[in-house]
Amino acid sequence: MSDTHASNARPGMGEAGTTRTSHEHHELGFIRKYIFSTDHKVIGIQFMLLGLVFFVLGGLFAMAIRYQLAWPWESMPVIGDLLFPNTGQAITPEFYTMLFTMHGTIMIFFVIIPLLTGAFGNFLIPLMIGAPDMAFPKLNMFGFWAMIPAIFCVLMSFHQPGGGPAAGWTAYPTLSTIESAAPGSVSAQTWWLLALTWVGVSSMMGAVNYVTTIVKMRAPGMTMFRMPLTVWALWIAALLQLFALPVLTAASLMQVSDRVLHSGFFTPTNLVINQLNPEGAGAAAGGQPLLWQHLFWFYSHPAVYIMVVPAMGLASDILSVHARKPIFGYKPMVYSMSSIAGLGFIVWGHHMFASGMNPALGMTFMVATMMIALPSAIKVFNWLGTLWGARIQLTTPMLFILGFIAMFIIGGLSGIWMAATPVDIYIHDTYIIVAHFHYVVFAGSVFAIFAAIYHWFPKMFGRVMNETLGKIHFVGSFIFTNGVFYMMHQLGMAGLMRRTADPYDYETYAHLQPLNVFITISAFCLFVWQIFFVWNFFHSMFWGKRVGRNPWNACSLEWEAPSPPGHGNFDHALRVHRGPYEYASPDVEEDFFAQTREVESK
Amino acid sequence: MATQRLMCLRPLAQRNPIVLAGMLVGVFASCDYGPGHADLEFGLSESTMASLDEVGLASSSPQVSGTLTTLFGTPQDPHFLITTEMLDGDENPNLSGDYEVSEEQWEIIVTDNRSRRFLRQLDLIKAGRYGVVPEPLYAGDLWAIWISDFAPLHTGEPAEVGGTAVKVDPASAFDENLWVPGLPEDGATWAEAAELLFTNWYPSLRESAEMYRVQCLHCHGVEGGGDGPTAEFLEPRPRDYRLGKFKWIAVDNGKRPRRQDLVNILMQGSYTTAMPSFARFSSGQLHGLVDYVRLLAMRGETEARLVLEMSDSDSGDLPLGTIESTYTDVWTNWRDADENYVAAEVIVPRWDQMSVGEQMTRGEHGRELFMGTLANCFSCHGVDGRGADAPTLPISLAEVVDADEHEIDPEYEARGGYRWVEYKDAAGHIMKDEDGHVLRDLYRIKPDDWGNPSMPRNFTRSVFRGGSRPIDLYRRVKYGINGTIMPAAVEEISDEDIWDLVIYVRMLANSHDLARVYEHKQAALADRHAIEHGHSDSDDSSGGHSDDGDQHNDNNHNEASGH
Amino acid sequence: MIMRITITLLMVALLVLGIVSWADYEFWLMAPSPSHYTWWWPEEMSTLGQRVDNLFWLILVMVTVMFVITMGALILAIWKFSAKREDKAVFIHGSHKLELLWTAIPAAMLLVIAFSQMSTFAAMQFDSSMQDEDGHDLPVLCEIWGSQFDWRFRYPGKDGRFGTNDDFESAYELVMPMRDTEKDQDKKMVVFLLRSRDVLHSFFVPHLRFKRDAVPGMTQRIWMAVDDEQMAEIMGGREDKTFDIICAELCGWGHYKMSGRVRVLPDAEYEAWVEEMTALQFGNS
Repeated sequence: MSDTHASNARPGMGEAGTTRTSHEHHELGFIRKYIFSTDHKVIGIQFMLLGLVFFVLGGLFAMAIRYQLAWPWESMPVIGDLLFPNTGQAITPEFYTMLFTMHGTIMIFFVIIPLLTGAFGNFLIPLMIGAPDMAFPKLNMFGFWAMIPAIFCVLMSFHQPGGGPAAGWTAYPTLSTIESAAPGSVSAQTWWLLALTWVGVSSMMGAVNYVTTIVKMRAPGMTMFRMPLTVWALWIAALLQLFALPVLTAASLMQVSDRVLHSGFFTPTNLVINQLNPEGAGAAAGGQPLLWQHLFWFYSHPAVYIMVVPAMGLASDILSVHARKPIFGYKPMVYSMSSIAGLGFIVWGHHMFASGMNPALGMTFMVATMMIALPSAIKVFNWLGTLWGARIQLTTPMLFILGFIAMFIIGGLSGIWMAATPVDIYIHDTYIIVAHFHYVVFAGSVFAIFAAIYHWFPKMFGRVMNETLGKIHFVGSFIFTNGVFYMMHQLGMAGLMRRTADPYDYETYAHLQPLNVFITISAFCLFVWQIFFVWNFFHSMFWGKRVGRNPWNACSLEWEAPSPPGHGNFDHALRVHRGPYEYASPDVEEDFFAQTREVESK
Repeated sequence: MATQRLMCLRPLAQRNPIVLAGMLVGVFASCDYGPGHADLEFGLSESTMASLDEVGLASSSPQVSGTLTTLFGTPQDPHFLITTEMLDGDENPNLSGDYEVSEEQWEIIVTDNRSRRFLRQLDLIKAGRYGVVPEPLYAGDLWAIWISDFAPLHTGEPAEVGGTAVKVDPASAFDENLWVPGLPEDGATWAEAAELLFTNWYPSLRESAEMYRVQCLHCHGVEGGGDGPTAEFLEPRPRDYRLGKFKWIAVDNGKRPRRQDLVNILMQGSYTTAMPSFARFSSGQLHGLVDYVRLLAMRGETEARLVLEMSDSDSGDLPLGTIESTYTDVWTNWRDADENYVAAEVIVPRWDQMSVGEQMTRGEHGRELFMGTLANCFSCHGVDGRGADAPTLPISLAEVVDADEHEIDPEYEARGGYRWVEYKDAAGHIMKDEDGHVLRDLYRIKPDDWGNPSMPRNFTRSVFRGGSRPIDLYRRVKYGINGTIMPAAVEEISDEDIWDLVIYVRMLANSHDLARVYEHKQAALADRHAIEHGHSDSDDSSGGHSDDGDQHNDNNHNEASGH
Repeated sequence: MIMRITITLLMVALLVLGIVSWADYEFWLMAPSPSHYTWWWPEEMSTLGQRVDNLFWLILVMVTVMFVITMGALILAIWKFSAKREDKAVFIHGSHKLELLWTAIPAAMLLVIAFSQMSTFAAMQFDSSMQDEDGHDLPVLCEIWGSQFDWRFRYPGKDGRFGTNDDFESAYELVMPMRDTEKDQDKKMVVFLLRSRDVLHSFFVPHLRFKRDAVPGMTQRIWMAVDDEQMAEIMGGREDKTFDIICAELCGWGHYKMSGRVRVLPDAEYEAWVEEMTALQFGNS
């Protein structure tokens, strides 16, 4: 890294008009440089490591859930020995409710969102728009450090009397607000809500930063429509967060207030829950449980797009680079992402078709939901258009993106059933839903994240990841992902409900155990298969093959910087002349035409 | 083991190459790991250990647990020890279910087996697809017979049928009319015998113990002590069987419950508690569970009495005679429970056919009794019938303790076991002493036999855990509630009086709605400018017809129909 | 080359899986379920359920077509353009016509789906569909109460009014008369009140394609109908003519235990059942 630091003087950077020279005159100590860093790249990598660690934890929860569903009430390895000596090492139902609650919470709030917006948002935005750092580096650092109290709160929630939160990641009242309603609602739920609030603070800091940086700190010549689609996607996701997060924060504080101050926003009159009458216990009543659902989904539906839109951006970029062809329909891509974001705010009610809200509302939400399928379809067609006539390089990132597209098609198409209200009534909260959102969030976002890690790893660490291991990783992951989630459609068609610890006593479900056994074994394989990634990641970080600035021959700005980029990112002046996807341009000899390259007269 | 588990996928894989391929990978990945569950162990109750400690016999606890294991087995292999006395009386408690179940009940069990429990297996047998009959849940013994006696008949393997090895010709094995010796109903054809095997199934104690492990243990605990891992989050706490006392019974107070009482609770659940209805299981399974619950209860009772005997004896030993007599005594109590059945003769008044006036007269009499010193209901249930929920503490429900001396049990306190009651003057103002301190007393709610604070029913919520039928309420009043401070009615109260009380209680249960329903209805009717049907003035009626209006958000209405 | 074949095969496998599982649902009926239940949904028994299923099939056809087209194009593109070649890729930034085309066609399809479902949804949830000709609400058959972890059904008894002394309760089993919207115009649907005592529950009857959350503090009118012919066709040959009620909303640790059954009876048998329950209510057993 010393060479990049040596080149930090950047003589031409003044032209960019965005240079801030205060950073560069002193070497920072280890702690300032890698722990309490204000450098967007370090913060991005911090987010990434955090996300990956929690990914393992969330994955382990998933394995425990799968184990229970395949072989209910049998000795669970490790967990059973440690926690349940009195039940013959079988887990208890309240523990199961905790497992899926925390699986959802961790995967969404501590894995996908930090990885996509935290890690790649931080790492890529300044590099891709040619800025030396974020607009507010200290705020950015605070954004990461706000995750620490979040982690503290979420870990504390496991140590509460009654065990971890157990009201589902959606935390519907009154199960979540009344202490006696569920073991996890005794006090763990409060910690859970605080954790969510801190994650919200972190996301908010990030979002403010991204929006400002993208609007104000683009390099000369980098117009909005010359930005890579990743930056567009992250910008849109940041706007979504800016507008949606306050609602979640307000809602979780309302729930905290219901729990701690007994304010009763969500507590209706005259309930008796587990022999406790909330009013008798001093809680105000007259509240409305549906209110929480509206507020929660007003955030959490956009959150779905926060988890998908950046993945779409990453996919577009990686696809174009490895297809060696300009992205097909750049502006339609931007417009469709924007309309996803816009429509994303008026479709939350499709989570509530069966909730008893006014059916006229349901009708409205149905139409909006149908319409939001359109931009996603347009994106898929544009990706196909990009591939058509391309010169596809089957590198690991490309394989993951191809997998992403294929599985996103499935996830997207199955969503149409969910949008159709009468059909949704049947499949609401069944395993079809589970299959659908795992296709979107796991097979979609996580595959895009894998691709992005393989793709930008050289930029992060100056070394490439092993391609052979990467390909093995992809093939296994692809097979087992479909083995797990495709079969869940069938469970859902048979009507199997989510969140049931032991469905086989029902006549309707009794025959589904073999299918669940199959899914569970696939899930174990999928989990074990990630060892190829873990090994590849850490091995390549230290011993991988060293590469230069632009190993993939890509056009966008981040490849102008040294690998890894030093403090301040670029060592020479940047001026952007064209869009980011000028591959195969007939104007130059090479098959890529970098954004900063001066136009050569022919 | 794992391969065995995976065999359940075989029928699918045979037709479906995709699944087959996935399976192969699965087998590869799961190696030889297969799930099972660890053995459970019966322990001794806390009170046993405490009382042994008290008399300095803590070291003798293995003697007690060893005795109990001999008498009742282990959770993996529960059984009753057969004593000579039982042999003489031609009784076998291990088969109690089999011969204690009434014919009527047995018919229900058989029907259930046929129409619900083994529906899938029987359908396949009828269709002749013997090879793919799936293993039923919680019926391992049945499955063992099927595998050893029936399945081989179709593969031509020698089988142990009726105790002797029979070599079956594979050609004739597929003959459905094959006569199978030694199976129920000699002379039945093979298919009939196979069907009979399933329809006549009654679970063994071992199977019921397995079902108990899965369905009940996490609340009721291994020994049935109501102390499973989930128990601490439940209010009321799960029943501790070990006292042998059950609340919702139709026998004399203090007696052991009938088998039917326990089956009823399994079928109906105890409403608004965490005990749900288990009617999704077949009648046979529920009877089997009752067998096992009875075993646990008897084990608990025997344990308590053995410890008593031990502490009473000078040597601290348990002579064989004592053990046997205790065991037989406990067992006899349970066996004879049916004899204590009460109220079979009672005639339930048909209020639905009574005039409103008559109901009101009887209810009024019921109210007088409720408030009177003879029945003394108000002293626990409060003058307004709101029981433990009443704003003022009912007079007999708790006793004053010295706030300074008394050591407050935090768990008991958390469960609502203590209340402060302020002194009030005639005008209802809280009284203070000269220093401005509020004058108040600390009351401790009386505990029931299980150590839970007593929570007399709030009638206005119109929920009755032991059943809301008139006869259920009658039994509660007449015979009291086992193990609680609810006493049996004194002899001076006649049956007629009890029925009046029951009518009054039902009125309390409904009166909560009365005013509101009436208002609601008037408003609705006024809106419509048309009275569709008249309704009796004092009778509460939130009729289906007029139960109209806003579908959503109708809190007022919700309160109206009462909890 | 190896990777080119592998990725293409993987994609083809996914396409085949998709087509086989959705286009040919009988594939799943072969699954190892000898009972009446398959890896597909339980057969519906209500007229409304029929409409839901039809809508499902409509969407299935459209979705399968879209799936085959997009996956086919993807596979073709991958196979065709991943071959090693020296020349550059096609230099093209997009096509306005194509964009219009693939915006308009899916939009039209989605609108067809959106509009074709409205009447079904109205019949399922709009109040107007369970009123008689004069606009009056139909009588309520029973109150459905959800509580941790039980379904209880409170019937108004013979006088048809709640809160009177002949009310009776049924635990676990919901008994309802058979009604057919099409044939029995004057009776229409069977109407229930759905309520919860404590937390959210969801009343789910897979056979009737019915699901609705029971929300504490709210009383909802819900309605279902069972078609007698459909019922006879599906359940006729069975000994046990009941089907499952399932709680579909997380309601606590015992969520999976919260079950019930529906028993549908012809009108006469239903009346007899009410008699029987009334006798039991005032019985002394």
